Amino acid sequence: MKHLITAAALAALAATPAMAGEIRVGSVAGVTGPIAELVAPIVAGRNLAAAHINANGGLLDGDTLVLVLADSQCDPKAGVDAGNKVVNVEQVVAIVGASCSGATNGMVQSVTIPAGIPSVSDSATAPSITDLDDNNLVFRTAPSDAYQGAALAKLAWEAGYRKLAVTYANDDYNAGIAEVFVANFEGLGGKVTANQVHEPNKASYRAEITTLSGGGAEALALFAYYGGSGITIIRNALETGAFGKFMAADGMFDVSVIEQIGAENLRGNLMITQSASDPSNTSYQLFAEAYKSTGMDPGAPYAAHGYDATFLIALAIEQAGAADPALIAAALPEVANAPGEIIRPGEWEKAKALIAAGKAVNYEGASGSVDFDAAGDVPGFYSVNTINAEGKFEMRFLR
Amino acid sequence: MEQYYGYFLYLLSLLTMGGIYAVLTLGLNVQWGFTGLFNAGIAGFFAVGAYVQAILTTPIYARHLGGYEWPIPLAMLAAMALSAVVGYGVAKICIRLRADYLAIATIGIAEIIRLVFKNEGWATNGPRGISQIPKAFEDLPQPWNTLAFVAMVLAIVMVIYLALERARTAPWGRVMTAIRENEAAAAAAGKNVERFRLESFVIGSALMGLGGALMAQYLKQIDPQVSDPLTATFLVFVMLIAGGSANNKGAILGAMLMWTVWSATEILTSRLPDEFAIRSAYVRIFLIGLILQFILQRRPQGILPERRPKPHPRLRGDRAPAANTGSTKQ
Amino acid sequence: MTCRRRFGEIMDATPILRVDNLVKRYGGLTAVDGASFEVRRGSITGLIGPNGAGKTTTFDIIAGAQPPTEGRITFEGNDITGLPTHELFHLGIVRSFQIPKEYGRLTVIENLMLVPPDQPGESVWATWFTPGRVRAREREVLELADEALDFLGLSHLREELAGNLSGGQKKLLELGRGMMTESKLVLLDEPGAGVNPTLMNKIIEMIRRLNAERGYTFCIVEHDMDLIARLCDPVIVLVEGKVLTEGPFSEVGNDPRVIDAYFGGAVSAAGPA
Repeated sequence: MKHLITAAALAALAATPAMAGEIRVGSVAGVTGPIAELVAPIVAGRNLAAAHINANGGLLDGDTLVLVLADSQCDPKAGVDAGNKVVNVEQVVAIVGASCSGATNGMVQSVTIPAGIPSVSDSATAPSITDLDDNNLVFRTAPSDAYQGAALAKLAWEAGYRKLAVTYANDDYNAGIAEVFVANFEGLGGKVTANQVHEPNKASYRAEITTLSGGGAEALALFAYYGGSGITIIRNALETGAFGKFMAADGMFDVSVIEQIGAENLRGNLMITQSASDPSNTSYQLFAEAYKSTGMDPGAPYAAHGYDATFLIALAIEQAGAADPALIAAALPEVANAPGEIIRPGEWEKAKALIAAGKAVNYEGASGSVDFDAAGDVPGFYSVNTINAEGKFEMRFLR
Repeated sequence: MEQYYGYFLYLLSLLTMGGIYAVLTLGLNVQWGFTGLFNAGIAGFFAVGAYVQAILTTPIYARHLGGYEWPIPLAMLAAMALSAVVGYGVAKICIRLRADYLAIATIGIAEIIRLVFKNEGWATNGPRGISQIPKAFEDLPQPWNTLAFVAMVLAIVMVIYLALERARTAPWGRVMTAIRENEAAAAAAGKNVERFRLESFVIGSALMGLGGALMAQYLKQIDPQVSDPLTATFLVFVMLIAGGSANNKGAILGAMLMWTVWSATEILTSRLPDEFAIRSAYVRIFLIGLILQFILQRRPQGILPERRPKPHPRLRGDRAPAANTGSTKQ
Repeated sequence: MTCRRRFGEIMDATPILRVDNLVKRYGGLTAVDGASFEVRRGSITGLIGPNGAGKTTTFDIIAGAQPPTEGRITFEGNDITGLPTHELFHLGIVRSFQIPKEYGRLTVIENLMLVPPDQPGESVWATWFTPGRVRAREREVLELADEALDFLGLSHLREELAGNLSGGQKKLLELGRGMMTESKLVLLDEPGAGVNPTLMNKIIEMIRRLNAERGYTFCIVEHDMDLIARLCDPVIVLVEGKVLTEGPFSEVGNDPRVIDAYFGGAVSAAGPA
């Protein structure tokens, strides 16, 4: 075991305790691994937030926010290891990340929840993170995939539908969205006349459609991938005359739907939701401008979420008034949610002054309003896509 | 002091992961070190163990098979058993193949296993994986839960070590080594080569399954990425070869050492400016290769080379020494 | 017949091994073409022939390394055609290899201790749960191995890795493996190949002693006519995959057909060995 002692000594030498005037926050990301290309812009988003904060007075009494990068490789093994390092060796007070849902799940369950360190993930979207028994330590600025179901239910209700039939492909993603959709639609007062799972990649779905059409539904809510079963189901439904109107989630968002079914059949009859940032939002524009000036593309997926997660942790440290993990965890929802004066990306000085004055702040992020619910999740932001006169998708941002 | 407590906890995490990898390297040592079976599909057996542990112990959850809530030790035995069964099936088909073909076949099988777990979403929650896996001793307060888990992992490593060391120095290990050294001659000495190779493969697979079961508990989350060939097959080979193939102590040493290198180098690289820190993440993978090169150049048999059991004492008094027989004349 | 016995004991006249009409084809090539012969119990039978006569193939088939295309092999009256090598071992048939196949990373004594059958320690369960039984048998095996080492004159190399032995010592070790079991028939593949005259004498001596003292029957494939002449009786001559003749070396060596096969036309007809 001699080598271990050597290694420990090495680690001790390498990791000097946090220097005075420095507050460390872990930046855990899948730097290597399957989504490495996606992660670089996200890390850039986090670093941009840290730069904004440090350039405008820093944390508390002028302390520097130091982001300590650790590689989660998009793998729970590496996620747990990275969490152990930033928490135990680097002694961080909070963590941004990890990137992938699996790595995040491993890291928070195995390391940060037992250690009492709050974490804010900027790109983990698995619904299973919502279900964790996390002592209110796990947050995320990336919306759970399941939220899309809620957004679509609201859209359906507002479009005047009261009776719907539901079918979903037998995979995690679509089943998850459908489950949430049904619960929300019924919650709004709607009636689900039939709810049926189907196996993807069958040649015909006429049998399923016959069953679904029994209850007198006004439209069919369809959760599937366009290539797997979605297009076939719409075609079969139109052929049999069982359904004429459809709602769908982003698994159906593809031009081949229009090409294969025909725009004339779908115009006014199909709504597809899709995750999106609001381009007209002031917060987003502020972020996009700053991010662009560093030579990056603000459209990069989850870059805005990375910025928001980091900025929120900084606000929470400021609100807590100390680099104390438990206080930071408690302060996170306070700074993210209403009530309070609205703070936008880059407005660190303003926020610092307000908090110092004892006023409440409410961060409105680049990725959305980032209001945490009880599970530490944020609602997603979505657009609805319909087919216009030219036979193309037309996007409308949902507010 | 908090800082040193933190180092202590990190050391425990190194010991835990090192210990779990040691279970895998010991398993590989049975196959490759003792018997010379080139199993390039460690990740597959590891994944079987991890998923069996996860499915059998997790509470009911809508998105994957579960709700059996088996006691943890029982699930670990089941994980070993099922990995052994899969190992038996694979060996039945592939064991006659020559080393390089066996490697190709096992790579393929591991990939098939990974894809099955990835695609059979009803059972495994697909790419999202299984979360909230119960972990032994997790109800104890910190740091006792961590300490107890480390102690369990190291105790398991110790038991495996003792069992394998006894088997290695017994006639069983002698036959395995003979098969590795020369298959045809082992057959000529009446050994059923195929049966022994099969046995070795199955024992190794069971240990890999156990490694998976421990890993699933430790991480509390598994998904197909856990059985990524880089960290679940390649790294295990590196550990064994660096530590000393066919040497059980070497297998454990290699696992501990390589995992420490793999993990602790990041503490240094994260000190670099961000741009370099991102790049240096790849340098760590390179570094592992470099260390392997260095060890193989300096010590071709690994840090702890293979050692035969202690000399057998002569049972009868010394006879007339050497070169006595040629003189017998008729 | 031509059976004579050098050491004067009464010899069992029934064949220990019988090869009937053995044929081996590789695609279009016929390596063995209907060879039939017998090996008498207690004899040291030589199997010779020019290059390509099919003697190595015949040897491999008897040793279970490959199955014949046609034909039958009987050992002590039982059909053993196509049985794998390790099963033949348990019937009492032990083989050596032309190029010594030692277990390089086992010690010399382990090389021998490996061989005996019925070792409970070969079950991994037994090593864990009945170590007493394992140890008891291990003592017997060790004694046997030391005996063999003494016989071979290799005792001083007991704990050496077999891979470090000289070529000649490896040859002796091959021979020693045959002593570690109740061998009935020992198949030797060119025991004299690449061996210096001193060692050759020693090997011949060993074979004679094993034959005389332990009653092993030997079947030897050999190129070296000196060794054959000094050791083997009878000698079976294979030419073009068939038995040309058999008899004592003195008769066979003067047979014009044999001389012709070695030095005449048959050489040009050499096929695969």
